[in-house]
Amino acid sequence: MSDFEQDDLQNEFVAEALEHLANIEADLLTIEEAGADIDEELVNKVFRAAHSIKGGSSFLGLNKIKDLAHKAETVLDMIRARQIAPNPETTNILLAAFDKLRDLISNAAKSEDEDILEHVESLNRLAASYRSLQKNEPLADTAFLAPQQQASLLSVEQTDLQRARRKGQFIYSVEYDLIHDIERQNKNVLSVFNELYDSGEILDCALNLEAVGSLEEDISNKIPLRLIFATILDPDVVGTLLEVAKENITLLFDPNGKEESPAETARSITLETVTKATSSQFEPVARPGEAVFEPSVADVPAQIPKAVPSDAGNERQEVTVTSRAPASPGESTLRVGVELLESLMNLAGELVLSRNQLREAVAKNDRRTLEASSQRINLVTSELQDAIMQTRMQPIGNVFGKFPRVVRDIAHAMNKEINLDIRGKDVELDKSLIEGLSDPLTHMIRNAADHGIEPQSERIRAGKKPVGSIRLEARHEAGLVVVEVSDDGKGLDGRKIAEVALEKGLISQDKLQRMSDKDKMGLVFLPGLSTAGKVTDLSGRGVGMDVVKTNLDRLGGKIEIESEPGAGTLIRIKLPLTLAIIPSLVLTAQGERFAIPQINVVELLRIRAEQVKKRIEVVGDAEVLKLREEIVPIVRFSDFLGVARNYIDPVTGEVELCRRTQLADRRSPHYLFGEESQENGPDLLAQKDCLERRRTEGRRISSQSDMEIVVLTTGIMKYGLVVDSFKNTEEIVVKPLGRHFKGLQEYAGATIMGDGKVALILDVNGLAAIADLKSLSGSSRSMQLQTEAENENLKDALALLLFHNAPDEVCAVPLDMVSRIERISADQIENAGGRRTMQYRGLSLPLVTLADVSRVKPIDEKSGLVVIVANVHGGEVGLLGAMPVDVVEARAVIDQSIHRQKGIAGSMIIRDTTVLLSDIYEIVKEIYPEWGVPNANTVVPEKDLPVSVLLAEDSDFFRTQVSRFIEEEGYTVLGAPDGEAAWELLVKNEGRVAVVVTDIEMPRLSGLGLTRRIRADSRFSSLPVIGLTSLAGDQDIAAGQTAGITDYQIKLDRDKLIESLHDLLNARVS
Amino acid sequence: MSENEAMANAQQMLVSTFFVADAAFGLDTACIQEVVRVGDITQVHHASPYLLGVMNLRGRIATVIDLSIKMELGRTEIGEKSRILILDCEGEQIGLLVQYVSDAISIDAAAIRPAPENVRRAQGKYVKGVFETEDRLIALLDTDGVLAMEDPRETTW
Repeated sequence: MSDFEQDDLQNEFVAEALEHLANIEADLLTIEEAGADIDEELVNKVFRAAHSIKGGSSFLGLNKIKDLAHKAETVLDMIRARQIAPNPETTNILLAAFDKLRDLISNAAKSEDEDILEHVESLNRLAASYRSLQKNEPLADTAFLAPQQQASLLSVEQTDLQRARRKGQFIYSVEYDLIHDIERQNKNVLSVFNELYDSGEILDCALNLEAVGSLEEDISNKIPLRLIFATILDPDVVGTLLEVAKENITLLFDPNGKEESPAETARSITLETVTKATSSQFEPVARPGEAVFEPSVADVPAQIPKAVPSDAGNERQEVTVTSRAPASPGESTLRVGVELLESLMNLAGELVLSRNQLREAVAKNDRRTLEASSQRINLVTSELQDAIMQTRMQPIGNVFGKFPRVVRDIAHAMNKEINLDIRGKDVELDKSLIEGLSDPLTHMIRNAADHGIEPQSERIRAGKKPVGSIRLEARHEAGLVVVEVSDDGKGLDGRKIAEVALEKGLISQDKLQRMSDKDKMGLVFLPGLSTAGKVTDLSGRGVGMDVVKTNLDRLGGKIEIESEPGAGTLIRIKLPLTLAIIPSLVLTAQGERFAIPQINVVELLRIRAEQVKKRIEVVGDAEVLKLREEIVPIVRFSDFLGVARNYIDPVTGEVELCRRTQLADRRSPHYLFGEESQENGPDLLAQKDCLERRRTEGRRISSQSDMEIVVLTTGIMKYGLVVDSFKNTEEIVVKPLGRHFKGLQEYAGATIMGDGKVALILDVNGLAAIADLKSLSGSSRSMQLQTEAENENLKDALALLLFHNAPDEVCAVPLDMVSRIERISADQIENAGGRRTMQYRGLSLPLVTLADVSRVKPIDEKSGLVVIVANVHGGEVGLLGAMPVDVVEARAVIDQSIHRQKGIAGSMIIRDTTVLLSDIYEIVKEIYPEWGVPNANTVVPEKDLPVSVLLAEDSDFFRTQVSRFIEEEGYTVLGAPDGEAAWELLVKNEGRVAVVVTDIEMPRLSGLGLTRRIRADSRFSSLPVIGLTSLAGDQDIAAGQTAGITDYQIKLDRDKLIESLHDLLNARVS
Repeated sequence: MSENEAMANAQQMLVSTFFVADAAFGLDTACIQEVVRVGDITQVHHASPYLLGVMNLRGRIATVIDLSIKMELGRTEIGEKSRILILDCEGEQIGLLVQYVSDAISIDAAAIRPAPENVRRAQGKYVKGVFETEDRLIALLDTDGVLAMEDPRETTW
C-alpha cells in the first residue's frame, strides 16, 4: 500500500468517523434522559459508531483512537446489557470521551502524541465500578488470540468474548490479502469493513507489514490484513460473506461450545491458530524471543498490546503520517447525493455541447446560431449554478446538534432546569453559512441559558413554570432563512440598556428620548456597549452581542431582538441562503463600479437639482438628507474615495493632497494623471480643462445636476451614499480580497463583472464606521430637522398623476381614482350627439376634458393624447390629457381659492410649477348631470334632525372635498380641523352624530387618539368610525383596527367612501 | 550525468531577472507561477500606494503590487513591456508589477553575496543578496519580504 493510498484511506476514515460522531451527543443525551428505560436501538447506534471507529483506526494504526473508542464501546455495551444505568455522571464521562475522540480524529495525524489517559481511566473506573459490584472479576482481561510468532498482533478482550457468548456469536480470525482480496477486486478496506459491520462486529484488526518483506527480498506479493470478526453466521456460510479463501478463516470461538472460562477458550484458540498460521504460506517474520503473553492485568494504555509489529513498520507509518498531514477533513470533503451528481454530469455535458455549438457559430459567423447558443449557455449556466449551490447546502441541524449539550452543561453547572426545543433541523443552508453561524448561535444559546433563564427559585417566585425553556427554530421565509432563539427568561430591560448606552456616551440624550422601547433594545448591538460587562450586571443579557452582530454582518445576515422584561427574549436572525452568490446593486463613482449587497439597500433616490438645496442640509460638518420623517446622514462616495488618496512623493518624501488644506480641490493633477502632469506636455491644457470640470462636479452641493443617492442600512442606522449613477441589480459571485487588504473595513470582497473586470464589493458597516457617521445624531440642528420632518409628515401625502392640458398647463388627478391610463390617437375619438366617446374594450367610453367645464386652454394634441380612465358613480369615464404624464407623491399645501373654479378643486405647487388639481366628479356632474342622482341607499332619518357626519380632517382641501361628497348624499357634515376640535364637537352634539369620519395624521389629537377616546367613552363607544388615509399600508390598517376604527377608506375615492357610509348607517338603523 | 555534475546542479538556481525603475532584480523562478501582461487593474481606494489594486486572473482575484513603489523607487510607468509576475503565496495569487522582464539565468548559489551595506533605504529590506552577471549586478529579492503585509491602510489622513 503506498503512502498515498494510506492518506486517502485515512481521510476517508476521518470523514466517516466524524460523520458517525456527528449525532452522538444528541443520542447520548437522549439515552441519559431515558434513564433506566433503555432504548436499545439508540444505544446500539452509538455503540456501532464507537465500534466502527475502533475498527478503522486500528487498521490505520491509530492506536490512541482505537483504545479510546474501545473503552467507550465497552461502557456502551454495559449500558446496553443494562449493567450500567445511564445517569448524568456516566453521560458526562461518555460525552467527554467522545469529545476527545472527535479531537483525536480531527487531527488524526497527530493523534498518537495525544494523552488519553484521563478518559481511559474514567471509562475504566466506570466499567470497574459496575464490575466490582457484581463479582470481583479482573478488569477487562485481555485474552490474546494471536499465534505466538505474531506476538500481540491481535487480541480479543474478555468483554468481547462475553458479549459474543451472550449473543451467540461466532468469533473468527480472518486473513485478507490487501492485494488479491481487496485491491484486485476493486474494493477498498473501508467498504469491506462496512460490509462486515452489516452482519457482525470487527473486534480487532491489524496489518502485518513485516510479512510484506523488505526491498531486498523477493516480494511476497501479499499484504496480509488480519482481523477478528464476531458474527452470528456459522462457519459454513461465513466464507460467502467474507469472500476469502476458506483456509484464511479460522474459527476462534464457538458460542455453542462447552461452557469454558473465557480465558481458557482463549488459550485453546491460541494454540489452534498457531498451527493454522504456520501451516499457511504466511511466513512469520517476527523476531524470536519476543514476549507473547504480556501480563494481562489492568488495562492502562501502555499495556495494551501494540498492533504495530516492528520498529521498521512503525517508523514507516509515522513518516507517512507526518509528512502529509491532511488539512482539517471537516472542510476538505463534502458528501453529495448521487442524484445531484448525475444532474451535474448532465449539465456539464450540456455545457460542452453548447460550447461546441458556440465555436461553430463563431467560426461560421452565423448570428442566429450564435444567439441560440448564447441563450443555451445562459440557461445551462444558471442550472449549473443552482446545482452546484445545492451541493453546498447542508441541514442546519449540523449546528443545532451541539446545543442540547451546551444547554445541558450550563443547566447542570448553574443548577437550573432548562428544556431546549429544537425545530427545523432540516432547513438547508450554504456550508459556509452553517460554519459561520455556529459561533454566534452558541453565544446566543449560552446567553439564554446562562443569563436569560432565571434560577428555579426566582422563576417560582415570579409565578413561572420552574423549568425554563429555550426554543431554537429555523425556517424558510421569503427566500431567506430565519433562525430564532427565544427563551422564557427574565428578558431585557430596554431602559437599563439605554442608561448604559447613555452613560458610555454611545448615544445622545435627545436621540434616546425619541426611541421606542424596541429601538432601545437594539442598542445591545452597539459596539462597546456590552464589552465591559455592565449590561450583564444590570439586565443579565447582552454579553458581546455586538460581536454576534459583527459575525452575522459578515454572513450578510440581519439580527433583530424582541424582549419583554420578565417574559423572555426573542432574537431573530435572517440569513441569505447562500453567501457565495448574492444579489447586489451595481453603482458607479469616479467612473469605477462598485457592488453593494442588496440586503443593505433600503431605497434608491434621485434628488432633482432644484430640490437638492431643500433636501440636503449641513449639520456641523456633515451633510444630511431629509427623507420623509427621517434625517439620514449622507456620504459623498466620490469624496470618500478621494479623501484618503494621499500620496507620499517618493523623491521628496512630501505628503501631497493633504485633506485639510485641499478639501475641495483634492483631485489634483497628481491624483488624476499620475506624474506626467508635472511635465508641460502638449495636452496639459486639455487635462486642466478636464480637471476644472471634475472639480465643479465634485463641489459639495452641486446645484447643476440631480443627485443619485442609495439609502443603506447597517441594521442599526441608515445612511445615504451619493454616487454618480446606479447601474443595475446583478447576482454577483463574492470573492475574497487578498490578505493585503484585510485591514480595509470598507470592502467586503470583490467580484468579477461580465466584462471580466474586477469590481469591489462595499461593506456597508465598515464604510459607515470609516466615514465616522456616528457623530451626527443628536446635534441640535439635526433635532430641529427631525421635528421639521415630522411636521412635514403630518401633511398628507397625496399620490398624484400629473398630465398636461396645454403644454404650459400641468394638471393632476389623485392617483387612487385612476384605474388605467391609455395612450390614444386623436382619430380614435368619436363625436356623437355633442358628446365625445371612444371605443374601449368593446364598449363606448364617455370622454371629458378639463376644458369642457373650466376656463383652461384646449388640449394640445400634438404632444400625444392620453386617456385617464376613472371610476365615477359606478361607471367609467375617460379624462383626456396630453403627454407627458408622471406620478408624484406630493405633500404640498393645496390652495383652494386662487385657481378654484368648476372642474378644478384647487392648485398646488409641485417642483416649482403650479399644478391644477382637477375634480373629475365635478366635471362629470357638469357634463352628465343624470349620473349623480341621489343614491337610493341614503338613510332617511327617522327624527326631524338630519343625520350628521362628524368629519375630522386637518387639510382644508380634503375637508372641503370630502364634506362635499357627503353633503351631496344628503347628510349634514360637522367639520373639524383636528381630533381635539372633533371631540369637542362630538360632545357638544351628543346624540346627533351618527358616524365619525376621521383623518389619521392630525395635529393636537390624531385620528387614532380620537378613536380611542370615542371607544373609551360609554356615550359614543358604539359609534362607527371611518378612517381616512391617503396612503394606507397594512401596518396602518392594523394599527387603526387596534385603536377601534371600523373601516378604512381612501380620501378621494368618493364612491367607496359613500358606500361604506351607507353600509354603516344602514347597519346602525337596522 | 556524473555524480559531480549532479552535485553542482544541486547548487545551481534558476533566477528570473527583471527591471524595476531601471534597476535589475532577480527572483527564484521556482517562486513564480506565471508572468502575465498588464490588464485591467481595479484600484482599491484607501489602500497603501504600493498596492496597485486587484486584477482578474482567470476568475481569481489577484492583488497587484507595484514593486517600484514598494521599494521606494517611484511609480512604475505601465508600458508595452510591463509585466506582472504572479506569485503563489499560501494559495493566494499576488502579482508584482515590473518594468520589464529580461531573462532567466542559471546561477551558482555560491555566487550569491550578501547585499552591500549601501543598498538604499527600503530596498535593503527586500534584497537577500546580490550576484553578478557578465554585464551587471543583480539584486536577488526576498519573496517573503516583498509579499509581507505592512501598513494596509494609508496612514496619512
